[in-house]
Amino acid sequence: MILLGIESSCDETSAAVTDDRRILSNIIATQKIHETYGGVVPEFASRSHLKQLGGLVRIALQQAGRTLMDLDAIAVTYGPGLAGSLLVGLGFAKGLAVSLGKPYIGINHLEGHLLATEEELDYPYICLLASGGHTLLIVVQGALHYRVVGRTVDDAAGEAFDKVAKLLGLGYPGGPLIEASAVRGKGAAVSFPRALMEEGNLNFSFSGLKTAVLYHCRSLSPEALRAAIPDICASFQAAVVDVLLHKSLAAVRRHHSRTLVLAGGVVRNTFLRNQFEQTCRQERISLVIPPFELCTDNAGMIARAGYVHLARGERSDLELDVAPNLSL
Amino acid sequence: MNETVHISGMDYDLVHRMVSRSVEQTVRYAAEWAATLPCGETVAFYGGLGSGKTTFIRGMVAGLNGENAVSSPTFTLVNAYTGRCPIYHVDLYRIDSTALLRDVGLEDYINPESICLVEWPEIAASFLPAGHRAVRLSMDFDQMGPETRLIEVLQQHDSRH
Repeated sequence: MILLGIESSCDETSAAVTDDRRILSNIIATQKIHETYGGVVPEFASRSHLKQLGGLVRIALQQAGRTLMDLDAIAVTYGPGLAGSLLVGLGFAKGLAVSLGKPYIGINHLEGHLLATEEELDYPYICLLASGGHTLLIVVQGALHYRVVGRTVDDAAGEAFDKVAKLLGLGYPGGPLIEASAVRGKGAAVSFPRALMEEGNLNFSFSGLKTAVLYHCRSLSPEALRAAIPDICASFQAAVVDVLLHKSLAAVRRHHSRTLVLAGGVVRNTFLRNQFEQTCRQERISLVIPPFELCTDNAGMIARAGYVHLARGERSDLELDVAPNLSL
Repeated sequence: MNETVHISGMDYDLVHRMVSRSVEQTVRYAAEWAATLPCGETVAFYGGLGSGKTTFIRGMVAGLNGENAVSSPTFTLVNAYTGRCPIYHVDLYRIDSTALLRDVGLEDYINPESICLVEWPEIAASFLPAGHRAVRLSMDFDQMGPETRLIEVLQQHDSRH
């Protein structure tokens, strides 16, 4: 089955072509414009999705060596995300489906992350999804059978990186900037709090950590603060990764799983990957990290999830509307 | 004679001022205050990063019998919760012009049936209804210590009266 996947839920516009679950092409356009604004700017986002999508689909088809006429179906993200951005993708997909006379299916963006990996995994497996908008621990109990067992009660992990980078005056996006600075600092320099670490609690809280960084900065003179930024970054990063790792392992144990899958933009952090790899090796847990371009928002994972649903005979009708607050 | 507070070009009457010594105290106060709020109200939240806006809102949603977990809408822009009336939790942190604000559709969330809670409302001053409520959270490390917050409950001075 040749599938076109479309993703436009936040700041990335992406188009992908897959053959069943095999990815033939996966083109991602990140909107550089956001760097100047210190965040995702929705109207810019939806306008530039609109501008980019047609071209991206053409490139994705070209790279895959296919044409529009080869497509058997279309898979598109319909939530969660920014309403205007989602509308661009969903409208495009519906229009193309109607004009080609082919079926299409709306996909939950979060499910896309869960199904991003190509490997066939043993159930149950645990997925940690950590991005700018989400921090979730999910038990995948069977095919298309998910249960959220942990979530953030305030800020998402990626949001904490962005806001701490802003507090430190580093800029946007926060993740790579904090990671780069942390390389020159010591993770044990400042003991920042790890929240909700009590036995049995799989939820996350990063708001107190953000506030603790703020308190720490305020306690230093401007010169001392400038000198301490690498240590603060390393210590903050260590605190976030500690909590993510601790709770992921707790979820693996509680749900008698042997497999942990990582997803979301935060997974691009090298320190995080190293810590997870080292610990999972010791604990004999098989750790699955999809390639970078499948970790962040991309249409390849949407097409993969679409394939799983379409293969079961599911279709969306033209009444389907965007669902900005969609959950799993 | 009420004390008047000026924030981002607007005049507010001070309704209540208190010092909270802990997150728990803030959450409890927020819940009690929210329980007295009629549906249709809009509340603007002033305060810097880490001042406790989302924490206060978590307390309010509990006080409004909200069933959903409150999380930061910084990336999602709007969270919707079901309580004794629909609750919209809007975060304008990433919005830096009124043109972009239109894309958020703030006016859709301000209506007589719902309660609309707006973090980082400065950009939306002209969109907030006359007589809206506000909560200002401030901290002063040197004077009060890290856990302590000054909470001010305000109501916009309605010039029509």
